[in-house]
Amino acid sequence: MRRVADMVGLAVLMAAGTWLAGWWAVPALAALWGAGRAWGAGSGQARRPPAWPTAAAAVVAWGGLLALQAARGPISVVAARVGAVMGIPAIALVVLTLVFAALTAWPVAFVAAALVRGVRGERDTSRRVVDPAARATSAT
Amino acid sequence: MPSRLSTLAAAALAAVTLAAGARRVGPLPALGALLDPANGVWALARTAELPREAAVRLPGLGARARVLYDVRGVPHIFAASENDAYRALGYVVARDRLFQLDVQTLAGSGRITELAGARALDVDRVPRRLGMPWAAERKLAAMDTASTAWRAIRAYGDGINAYIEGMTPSDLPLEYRLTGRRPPHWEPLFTMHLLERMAWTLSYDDQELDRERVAALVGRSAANALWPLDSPIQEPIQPNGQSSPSRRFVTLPPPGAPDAAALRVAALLEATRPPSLAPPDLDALGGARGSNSWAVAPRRTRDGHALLAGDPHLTLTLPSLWYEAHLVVPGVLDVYGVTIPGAPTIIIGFNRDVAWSFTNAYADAVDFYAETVDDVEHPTAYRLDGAWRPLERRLEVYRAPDGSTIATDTLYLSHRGPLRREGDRWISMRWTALEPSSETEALAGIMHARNAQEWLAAMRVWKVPAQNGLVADRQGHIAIRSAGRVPLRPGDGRGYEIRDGSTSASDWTGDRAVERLPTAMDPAQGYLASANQQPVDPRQDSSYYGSDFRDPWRALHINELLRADSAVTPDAMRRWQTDAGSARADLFVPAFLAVARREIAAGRGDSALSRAARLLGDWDRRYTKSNRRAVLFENAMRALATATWDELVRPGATRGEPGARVATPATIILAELLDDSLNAWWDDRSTPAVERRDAIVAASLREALARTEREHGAPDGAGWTWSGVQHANIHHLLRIPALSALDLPIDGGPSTLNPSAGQGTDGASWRMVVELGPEVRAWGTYPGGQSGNPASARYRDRLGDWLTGTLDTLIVPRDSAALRVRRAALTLLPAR
Repeated sequence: MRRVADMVGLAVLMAAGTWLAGWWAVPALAALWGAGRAWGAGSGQARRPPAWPTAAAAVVAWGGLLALQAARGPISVVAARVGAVMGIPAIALVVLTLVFAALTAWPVAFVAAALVRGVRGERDTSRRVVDPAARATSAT
Repeated sequence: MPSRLSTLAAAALAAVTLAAGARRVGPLPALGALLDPANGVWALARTAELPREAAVRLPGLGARARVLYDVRGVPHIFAASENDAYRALGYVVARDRLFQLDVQTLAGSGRITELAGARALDVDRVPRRLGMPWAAERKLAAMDTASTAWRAIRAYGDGINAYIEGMTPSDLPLEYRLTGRRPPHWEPLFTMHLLERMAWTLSYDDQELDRERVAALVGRSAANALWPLDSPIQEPIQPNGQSSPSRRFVTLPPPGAPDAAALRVAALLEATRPPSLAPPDLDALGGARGSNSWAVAPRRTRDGHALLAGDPHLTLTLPSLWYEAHLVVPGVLDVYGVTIPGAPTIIIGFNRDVAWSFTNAYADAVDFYAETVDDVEHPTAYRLDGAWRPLERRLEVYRAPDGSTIATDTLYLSHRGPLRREGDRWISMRWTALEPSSETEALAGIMHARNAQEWLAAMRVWKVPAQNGLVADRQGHIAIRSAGRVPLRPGDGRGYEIRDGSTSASDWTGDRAVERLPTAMDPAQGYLASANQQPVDPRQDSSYYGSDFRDPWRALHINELLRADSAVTPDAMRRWQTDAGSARADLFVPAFLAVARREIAAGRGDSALSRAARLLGDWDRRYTKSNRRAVLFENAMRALATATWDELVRPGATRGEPGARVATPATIILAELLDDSLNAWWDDRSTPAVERRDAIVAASLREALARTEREHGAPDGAGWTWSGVQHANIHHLLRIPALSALDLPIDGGPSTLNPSAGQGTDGASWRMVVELGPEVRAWGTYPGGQSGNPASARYRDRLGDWLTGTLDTLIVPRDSAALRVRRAALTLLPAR
């Protein structure tokens, strides 16, 4: 339940970010989200990268924005005309939009998380060498 | 913990996705900004329709102005001053047609490469080499900054810039998103580029090259007969007092010996000619460029009010060339009509007292001069009256979309105009469109006219392109004048030859006085009609005006309709604009049938000829969508031209292949030839026998039947239906098929009042009927819609009516309160 709530929260942030700052808001928030989750995650969680929930949030965010546009104008006409310009069916333009959102979020979150884990992993390793408390724990 | 490999793969995917989002990849625009659902293409849905109510502050606005959009999306601008009205017009045009404003400017100034890159270089070189950007700059510099025209151009541009500066990312038109371009700041010069472009379309249309090419093959005498100074059928714009068209057919001289001098001249002219705007031979077969307009005096109308109809035929585009608008400045201006995005005034339209329209006059406005230069490779001076005069040099720089230089050209200019090199010779060109003129002043003036006389007076300053200006007023007057510069030339006064540039005695000696231009007012016949035909009967005035007039077929048909109706109604005027009848078919079909009868009677007939004649005889000679015989007739006309003009096939080409002839005489010349059964032109040079007219006409009919059956199947099958053969094709400005309206079935064909020929890309670009009663009433439409946004319902909402010949009732409120049903409203406020 918490994970769904987190994902919805991220989606809201991504939608607002896109509205205010453009499409770069999605990868930027995905990077922050991925890094933040990796930083704050326990060792068990660390095995599950936050990329998929981030991608889902991006899809929900952009899907929501599309729904908002649909309420304010003929997006089916836009899909048909622009799709035809690009040589794809109208529905494919919708799918492409959502896939693009997912593709900008997923790998960025994945890489950000991996980088943070890498940094944390090195620190953990160095701690294991120099931390007397850890050494004592391992002695007992 | 993800493996290093999967992290690298994700990093690669991120890099690819972000790169595709941020940068263009080949023809694909940057996907991020494009697909962004808030501000990308999807925002086109949000901006497709105008907000019900909006308010913006407009720098420079003198007082609050109100813009009310009626149900047809036409803005009615209510302003406190003319300058405010022009400013508001600039704003609303930019709001609906921003990309069109930009691309028309690029086209006029030869800067398409800045949009499309190096592949547009050849296209851009044409206007540059013609000196059009140079002329636009000169014209702007020559403008009186205290003039109405200057104020209108400035205010209009300010309105455009106010819109551009107030745009949000979601307001960006689709074409900008696809091309990656951004709207430029609007300069007054851009209006001059647009006007220059229109002048090119309408006044750079000389047939001198065709005449020279033909003279090179068959001699001067034959060439002059095939491209005569005067039309063989006279139905002039300025009525000649005849109650029917005058046929003045003459015997064509036979093909003569090749003229070597003409060949050299043709090569020189070839070098100066821009690429053809029409496919080879299209115009000769009865093209679709030209225009119609006619006016009827009250005594020949049912309700006793003057009527005027106008439909300019131009290249059809989406969005349309035209934008409909209504400008109201209480007590000063109340004008409704169509403007071209980029021009600050109404161009064709009406006010409360007068209505007007234009057709192209085809005055000869271009001449060429052989110049003597000091250095053929790098000229710096040219010889004039025994002295060397310096050549002006201008560097033309062609830029890529990123601003880098693609190519440069040096343009050399004499006092006459730009020079072009052909081999070791330099030719200069003088063209009225390159010299200072005052069209905006004239247009601003005619909008205020209160009667036909005032309208004609305002048009006195009109110079280029020469136009037949038709006007009707509420007092019942109708008038027409072929307005514009008609240069006076030394010698025989004609602009046929390449003149000696080394002497100023070759130069134009002035312009024909306005009083001597073809003019008519309140003629006895009670109507006036203009369809690009020869303006004056040469028996009334033989002075040279030009010789490139269109075939008189449309003029003949309009005059026939007008003569037959002494109680004309606005609805009849509307119907005539799309009448499918054809004077060309009325002349040629009986000729084909008469030949077939004679051949059959003489025992030279066969089943193919009998069948072809029977099928052609079935035709009512109307190009309706459902008719199944026009296709046979058109193929017969094509076959007849191919068989008759075989002497004009260029050396080495095969008769019948596209573009095989160096030029094709007009169909009116073919009609003239039909009267002369033994003329040498009928002979087929590929056979040892000497053919005569009937043999060639009969063979053409047989060939047409064979070809039509081969291409379209059985005569009564669907393949012969005109709607499956001829279409209107209205391309988007960038020729993007998905944003175009293609393969539209249409009532009309070559030389009908609603013309459609060849690729169907030209046609009636605006149709208007106005009744000047106690209250002006008007109807109109154009193919397209007011909005340039392809997602808008207003993008092409008028196409259906245009195709069926239906006109909308134009709403002309006197004040803002009178417009009860509104689609949207905009309040323009002075900047704080």
